[in-house]
Amino acid sequence: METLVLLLIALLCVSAGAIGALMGIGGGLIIIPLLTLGFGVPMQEAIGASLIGVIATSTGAASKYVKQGLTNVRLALFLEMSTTVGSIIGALIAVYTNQTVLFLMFSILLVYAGYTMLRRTEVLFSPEQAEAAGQIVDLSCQYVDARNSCEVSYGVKGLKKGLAYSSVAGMLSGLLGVGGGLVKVPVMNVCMCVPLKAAAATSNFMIGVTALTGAIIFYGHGLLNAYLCGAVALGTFAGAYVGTMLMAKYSASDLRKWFSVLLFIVAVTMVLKAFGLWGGA
Amino acid sequence: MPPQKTLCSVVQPILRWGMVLSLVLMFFGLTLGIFTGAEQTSVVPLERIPSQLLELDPAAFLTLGIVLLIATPLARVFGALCVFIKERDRKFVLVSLVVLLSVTLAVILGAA
Repeated sequence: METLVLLLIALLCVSAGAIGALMGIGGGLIIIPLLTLGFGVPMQEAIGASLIGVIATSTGAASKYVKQGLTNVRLALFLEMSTTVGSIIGALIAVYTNQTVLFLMFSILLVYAGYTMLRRTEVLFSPEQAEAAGQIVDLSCQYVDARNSCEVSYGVKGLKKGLAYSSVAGMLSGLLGVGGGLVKVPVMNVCMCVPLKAAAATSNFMIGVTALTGAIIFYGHGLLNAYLCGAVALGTFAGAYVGTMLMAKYSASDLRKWFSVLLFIVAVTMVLKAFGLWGGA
Repeated sequence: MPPQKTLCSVVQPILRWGMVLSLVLMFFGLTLGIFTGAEQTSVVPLERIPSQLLELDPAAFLTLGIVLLIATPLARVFGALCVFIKERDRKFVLVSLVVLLSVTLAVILGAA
């Protein structure tokens, strides 16, 4: 691949890293169509590079978010149990399912999640309430919102529901190769009462583990293009850094609105994908 | 130290060093590749990385960076597991083990 092309790919991947770090998603949604449609990279190489980009976004952003306390490490590990198991089930049954129907169903789910996030305001569940509810594990956490230096302490609600829904998120990412973060953030924010910034940071953190298995398999089969992966990783690393800066600048309610918009946009691309009109369905 | 702080003090350096090391290696590999105009583009198998590093093969530097990057999320689950074992937090020892086991299972199933 030519130097100039690699440089351009790295530059464009900065946006994927920034949106990924800000919204708690992987960025594969941006990287894959960018590489396949924009640069004519074969699908398999694009997926491989995107997996590496996703891990770079997750690691780069998390090294800052963990320090700030935005990432709820316990909650992340707790939900990772069901997302990883879900993604295995998803990958196993992917061969037997109709992708077109799945993409359409997924887009309906995204529109519903976006609508719910727009309509409802954020509800805070206090650590005391969580303790009184006597849950199986204590996932309460606190962070300082860099925007207004306010300390936010929160408890986590509906653990069983969250676990069940995240297995669906994992299954969808195993089935369709996209969408773990897009489902996890609304689940944490709406069903489990995790403040949006913490939900995005935690989801972003979790995505590193989700992408890991795919990346190992691709590496084992020698399917990764070293230069492409390098360029994508460098771009997304830089983007993740930008994303963490933006997170400190904007309010949670702004981010919530943008997240809904993102869900609607992805829903449209999923419909296009269902009919084979977007980035190789 | 409160549990959340201890956990962060272990997980954060893992993420940071994983990021810095892979970043430096990939940047070096890319720069070297651009200046020497290497032909090989696919990743180098694990066992050939050391010898090709000595030959200053750009793909080997890039691959080592990629491998370190992939290993970082796994290392932070291990790091968290160690903290939970030390704190005798049985529930979370179990949670971390389930995560590690299902990742292993996914890799085995995916490779087959």
